[in-house]
Formats: sequence, C-alpha cells, structure tokens
Amino acid sequence: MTIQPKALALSLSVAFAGLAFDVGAAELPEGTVVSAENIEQIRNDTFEGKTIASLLTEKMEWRIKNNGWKLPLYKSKEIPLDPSWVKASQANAGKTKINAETCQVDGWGAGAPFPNIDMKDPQAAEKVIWNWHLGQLTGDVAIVPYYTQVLIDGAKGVHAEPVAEFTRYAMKGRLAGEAVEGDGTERGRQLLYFKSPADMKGLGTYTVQYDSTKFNDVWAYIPAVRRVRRLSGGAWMDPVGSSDQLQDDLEIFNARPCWYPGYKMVGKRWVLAVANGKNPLWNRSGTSFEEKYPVLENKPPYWNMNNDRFEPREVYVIEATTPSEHPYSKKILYVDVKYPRIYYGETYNRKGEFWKFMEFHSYVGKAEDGFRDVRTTGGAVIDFQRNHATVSLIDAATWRTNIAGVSAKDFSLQTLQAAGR
Amino acid sequence: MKSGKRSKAPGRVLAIAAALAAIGPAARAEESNFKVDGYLREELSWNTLNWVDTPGYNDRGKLSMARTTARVNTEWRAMDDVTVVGKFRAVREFRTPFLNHLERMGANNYQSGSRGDIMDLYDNGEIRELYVDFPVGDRTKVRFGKQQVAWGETDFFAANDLVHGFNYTWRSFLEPANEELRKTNVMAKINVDVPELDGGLEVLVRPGWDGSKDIGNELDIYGGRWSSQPYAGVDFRNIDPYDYKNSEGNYRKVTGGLRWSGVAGDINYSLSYLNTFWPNPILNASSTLKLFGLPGVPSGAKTVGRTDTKGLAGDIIYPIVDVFGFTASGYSDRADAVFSTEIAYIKDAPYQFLAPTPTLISQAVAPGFDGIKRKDLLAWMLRMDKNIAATQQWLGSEKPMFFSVQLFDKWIQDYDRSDRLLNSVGWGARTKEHSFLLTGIFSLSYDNGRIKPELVVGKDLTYGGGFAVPSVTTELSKNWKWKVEYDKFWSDDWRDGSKCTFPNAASCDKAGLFGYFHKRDQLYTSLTYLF
Repeated sequence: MTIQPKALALSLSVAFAGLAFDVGAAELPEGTVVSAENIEQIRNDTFEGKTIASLLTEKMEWRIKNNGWKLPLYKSKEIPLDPSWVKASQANAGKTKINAETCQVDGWGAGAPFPNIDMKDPQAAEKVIWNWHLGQLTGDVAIVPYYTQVLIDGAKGVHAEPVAEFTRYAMKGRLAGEAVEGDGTERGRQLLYFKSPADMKGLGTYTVQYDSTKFNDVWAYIPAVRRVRRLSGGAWMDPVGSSDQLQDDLEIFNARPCWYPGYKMVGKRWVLAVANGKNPLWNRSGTSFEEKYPVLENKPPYWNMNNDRFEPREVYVIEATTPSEHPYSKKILYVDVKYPRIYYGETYNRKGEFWKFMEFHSYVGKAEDGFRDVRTTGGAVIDFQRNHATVSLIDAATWRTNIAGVSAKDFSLQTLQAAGR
Repeated sequence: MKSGKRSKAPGRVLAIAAALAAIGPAARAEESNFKVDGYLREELSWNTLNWVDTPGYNDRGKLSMARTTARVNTEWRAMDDVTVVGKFRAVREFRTPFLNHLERMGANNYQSGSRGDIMDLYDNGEIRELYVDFPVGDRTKVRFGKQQVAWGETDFFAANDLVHGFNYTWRSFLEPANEELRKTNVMAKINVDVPELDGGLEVLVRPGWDGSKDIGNELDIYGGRWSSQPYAGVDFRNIDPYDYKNSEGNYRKVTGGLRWSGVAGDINYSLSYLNTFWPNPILNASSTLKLFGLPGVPSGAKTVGRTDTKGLAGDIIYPIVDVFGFTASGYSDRADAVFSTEIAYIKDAPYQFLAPTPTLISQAVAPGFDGIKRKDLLAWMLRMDKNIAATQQWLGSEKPMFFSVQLFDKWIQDYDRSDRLLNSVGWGARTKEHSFLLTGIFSLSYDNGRIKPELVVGKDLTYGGGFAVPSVTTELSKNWKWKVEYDKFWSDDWRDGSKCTFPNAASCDKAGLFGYFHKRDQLYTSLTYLF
C-alpha cells in the first residue's frame, strides 16, 4: 500500500485538530451555570460526557444568548418509576393499537399504552404522544390547592398573579383498584377554582374529558352572576383566559392526540431539562418578587426560571402538525424517552415564524398511598412575538396525590355549583 | 333611612371594612383560617342629554353619581367542614348639584315634608351576606344565613332568577354584576348530591325573617337619578307607599322552592318550582277616591289583600306567585356554539290594566290605578354563545371574540286583548301577547386581558326602542382597574309629562320599556382597587 503524501498530511491535520479539541474541552463541574457570558467559551466543554452545544436546541441557545436564560448544571438522576405503573405499562406491550376511527387505543388498560417505542415504526411519534396523553405518572387523583399563573410583560414585569386550586381525577387508566370508573366514556375530570384576586375569586371550571373523539364538556361558575354557564367544547385551541397558553398548551400538549392530523418523529437527542427540580418554586407568603418567586430573576424579561436544576435528559423530538384552523402551524415537542414527560415545546405561527417557547419543570413526589408521581413545579409559556409570558408556579408542598376516601362523586357539576361563593 | 331597613351607619361599616382590609395581608401571610379580600371603587357618571322632566334645568354634562364603595369579603374556616362567609359593603356618595336639584324637586321626600334627603337613597352600609356552610353526611351540604341564590340561565331579563328582588335605585339596568344588585335574604339552602342520577337537588327555604325592604325589585320611584322619565323629582310613595304586609304578598310569609339539576347525555338541565314574590312592583289601587278628599266614594278599582289601601292612590305590593321552571344547555359541534334555553311558567302573574273608562286616579296620575288582573305567563329565553375566531384576524384580538345573542319573550296565556293589560303602572303601553327582546354581547380582549372592549346592545322587538352600551375596561396594574362606558338609549315613544295632565294622564302615551329611559344617556367611569 502506498501512502500519498497529500492524504497523509490531511490525516495528520485531522488527528491534530482532534487532539487540539480534546485538549481544549473540559468536563464541567456540577453547579456550572450556562449563560450568555460563558456559552461561547464552554460550548465544546462537556457535562456527563456530552458537549454543552449538543445539550442545547437551537432555540434554547438563542434564549441563553439573547434573553437572559441561565441553566445551572446538575448531575442527572434516574426517575424512579412506580412499580404499579411499570407493571401496567408492560402489560400493554404488543397488545395495544391506535384506532384512528374511534380515537382510542384499543387494548389499553392503564399505564403507558406503548411501553416500547421502535424508532423505525411509522407511528412512533404518535405512540409517544398517546403515552403522554394516557400514561402520565400523575396518580389517580391529584389535588393542587395552590398554584399561581403569573402574567409577565417582558419590559415591565409582573402585571397579574391570580391564585387557583386545581384537581385532576382519572376515570380511566387508574392504577389503584379498578382501572375504569363510571361507564368508560370519560378519560378524566378536572376542577379549577380561582382563589384570588377578589374579582376572580370563586371563578371556577369543571371539565369532563372523554376517551373518544368527543370534545371536552366544560362548565364555568361565574361569581358575578352566581351561575354556572356551559362553555364551548370546541375552544381547545383558544387561549386560556388572558394567558399566553392555548387550552392545548397546558403542560405543553393537552389535546386529544387525534385532534392533530399528524406527528413526525424527528429523532432522539439530549437536552438540558429539569426533571428533579427544586420545590417549591413559589413562596406564597413572600412579599417581595425575590421572596415570592425564588426561581425567577427580577429583571427583564422576568420570566426566566434560572434558579433550578438542569440535567441532561434524552428526549424524542416530535413535530406535531396542527389542524388548518389552529393558530400554530406546527409544534415541536421534546419528550423524555424513559417516561411520559414533555420538557419543552416550540410553536410557529401560520407564516412559519417562531412564536412561543414552552418550558416545564418537574420532580418526583410521593402520593399518600406511596405511589411515585411526577409533579410539575413550574412552567413558562413565552410569547416572543408579543414579549409576554405566562409562568405557572405550584406550591408543591401542599400538593396531594391519591387521597384516601375520594371518589368521582366528589368531582362533578354539583361540586362546582355547590362550591360557588 | 326611609327607603329600607339597611343600616344607617355607612361610616361604621366603612371603618370595619378598612380594619378588615388592613388585616388582609397579615391573614394571608400567616396562612390563617381567616381570609379577607375585596375592593375599593369610585364610580362617576355624567348625564349627556338634557332631561325632559326637569324643566328649567340643564341636566346635560351634570355629574349624576360620585359613588365610593368599599367591599370586604371574609371567609373563616371555623372547623374542617364548617365555613363562615361574610360579605360587607359600605357606600358613600358625594352630593352633586344635580342630585341637589332632584332633591329640591321633591326626590325622596316621603314623610319629610317638602324636602327630603336624597343622599339617604345612596349612602348605606349593609351586610350583603353572612352565612355558614356545613355538610350533613356524605352528600348533603347546608348553607344557612343571609345569602343570594341565582336560578335560571339568563342574566339579563329574569325568567327563573326570581328567588330575590333586585335594587335598581342606585343604577338601573346597566350594572353587569347582578351580584351587586340582588337583595339578599336569610335562607336555608340544602343541596343533596345524587351522583347515581347525575344530578342534585337544591331546596330553598326563606323563613320570612328578612326586613320588609328585602323583597321585590326596588325601582327608583323616589324621583332620584334613576327615576324613569317623566318622574324625576317625584316620590310616588307620597300617594302609593309600599305595603309589605298585604295578604297577597306578606314579607313575613315563608317562601322557597326546589330545583333538580343534572346532566342527561350532553345536555345539562334543571327543573324547578319556586314560591316567591313577583319581582315587579304592582300597584294595588285604592278602591276609594280619598286622593281627592272623597274617602267614601268608590274609585271603581278593586283593592286586593286588604279593605282599602294605606296610600291615597294605592299601595305598592309584591304578590306571591308560583313559578315552574325548566332550563337546558348544551354544546353543538356542528355550530361550534353553546345553546341555552330557559322557560318559566308563572301561575297567576299579576298585571295592571287600563279599564275602558279609567278611574279618576288613573286619569289624574297615570295609567295603572284601575286594579290588578292575573294571567298565566310563559317567560322563555333562547341563547347562543359562540366564540368568533375571525376577530383575531379582523380586529387583532388576542383570542376569539365572545358573542352571545339572546331572544327573550313573555308570552301571556289565554291572551285577550280586551283585558287591556299594561306593561307597568305609570306608562301607557298595552301588553301584547308576546313581548320580545333581543340582546347581543360582543366581548374582545387585548394585551393579555389588560384591555377589554365590550359592546352590549338590545332591541325591544315588540314595543320599540333599545340600548347600546360600549365599554372598555383597562387593567392599569394587578390591583387597579379602570372602566369607561357610554350608555345609549332610544325609544319609539315616550311619555311627555306636560301633555299628561288630568284628565289625560291615563291615555297620553304608549311608552314601553325604553321610553322610561328617554334622554337618560350617560357617560360612566369607574376605578377599582382590588385587595
């Protein structure tokens, strides 16, 4: 074999360049904060063996460089998956099938309907979304007595901070006892009451979600007229109140999967995300901005949840195609590969321009019956076109999951009516 | 205060309100079982037209209201399942030159000689609500105390929302929150959940412990700023005071009702029975001509519920009626809209009538002093609520416009034109078999809810006239809200007081509802601080 001088030179230069790279890159210590100040210097450095650049999506890097986002690095931790959920999920392996006609997953009982995702499966992306929709680790019933929805003007700061109580009750996919409660048509029920400010206090909604194509049934109690009014079930792609999120943006993706015409699996990758975050991110008894919102920075744009634990997580990248009447043209979702959890979402308007960035933080809690549930601690939906954000923060200390003695009859239209004050 | 049994001590209530407001943040901070919130509000309104019924005085541009309200809500969790709720409101108004003028004309001068104190109509402090909530067993909840309850679907023109009367004296017709207008009552409300049937039963018992003024709709028959045209400065109680103890409607009588509400398929519905006071004031005409100094001479009218009236011309009464109600509401996929309906069958609803030969009282005062007839009435409403997404493109709104259209009708059963029924004492419009009203609401939102324009319009399809109320509410900060509103009324007919003198008073006009608001247009603004 004859070695050409030119080829030899090229090989040497590549090898040398590689050597130079290795020499310059470093494994960053836990606690390092990725920010606009250092991102250029550390982008080729590594954390848990992965380069910082590889752990940031394009929009994440853009936010860090241009919008004050800071990501403190923490070692990744395994998410302890509750054995009952794992068992129920594994029981679905090979038995479940998406039924496009009924908008259901045939054969699903509880847990994630598709525990094994094959990247070569043309339905892989859709199955990940069904796992999120039906298989979240939220427990059979969760009561969140206090959460706040902070409305933030990127230039001026907080302009509203209503406080509400939220309850979610599963009618299907239950892990304790019978998997189905009721006649099997309902997926779940939700109750939401505002506790403050005074002009919103008592305002509440009761929602029934169905395990079919059917739109949600939604009722609202309006204190000013002391009356329950039926709301439009077709409003799932409309904004929630005065916030920056649409109904189907709640925890990034809140639609029945079949309401979207299609999903594309873009691939797998690693990102920095909060899966074992600090809690609570909101101190209800605080008086100053810093006391109330320890996770946020009290300077423009005010919405960055900078003071949390970001760790490397492997995610599916899924592009969801929206219906033609939807305000978004597409939604990009970053979903953990180990369990159903969406960390980030990007949305684009009908012109294809970048519009909103969504970011949700969570940690693993323990239910009253010992179930290990995944609890959201905070979420930001940032509208970059209007320089405005909605940051939802939860008082995790008061969160209760799988409370004994609670049943579906405690969450009904009568409950909404009776609770009105 | 003559106009009611509300407390005469707004200062004291204001002081209590201020004290409660002050401990609010502390209560929150300590996570106590005692919570306080509320608001402070300043409201101003100006007449934008010159009233016809204040001759020699230019009302245009005059400040008709400068009202300061402190509202405090308290909630005390006394035990795990027992909560005590209190809602307090204190009001002080500034005596504007316009109000002073109405007072000079005679407003609120009942039992006060030639001049009363108009501010007694507006300054007050009251316990709006004070009740205790507690459960009995697994499925029964009880609320006992002074409270308010809304039945039915519609907020605009009440069909089944007849549990309480409303106070329209300080602001008539235009106040969006019925919460602030309802006269609250001492009641027991018992709710029994029946999840097996997807519904629940509500039982209301009003034991009759309220003050006399706490029943029936209170209109400004005192000559104040919301007196209906042409009765500015006229306190009608001088000739027809209230009679709350009439046997047709004694405020001490026990009233109440039952309502079953539930969900059947995709429809939520309710069925109800209510025994309650007819909300509209009914003129119980004097059977004699004592108004003219002839107490021994029959007037031709028949007085009900007592031998003769207390007042010279008659008494205002609120007869008790039986109301059978039905409501339903459901979402339609096809129309992407929510449709609601409401039906109230009122047995023996009381009506004024105009006799072919009116009594001398009617000929001298106004139509309606000829007696009372009872007719069965079917009040029904059909409404569609729809979110119009196109406004996001057309008007740049941040979310679809909320649009609500409502058709309301009062359908008199066994209608007979020769009954010569009147819409109301005081005006000449004869009631037709159907009385249709069409209303529409258009609500927009901008800047994350910080700017909310709204337009409310209505048209009286039977008697003519209508209204348009455009407004903008701006959130100045998280605690401060500012609203600006214009209130426009128009009518096909109105009552010209100058042509309605004896003996023509009973036959000089055909004014319907919006004739009452002739030239009453106004500009309104409010500033609210929430705490």
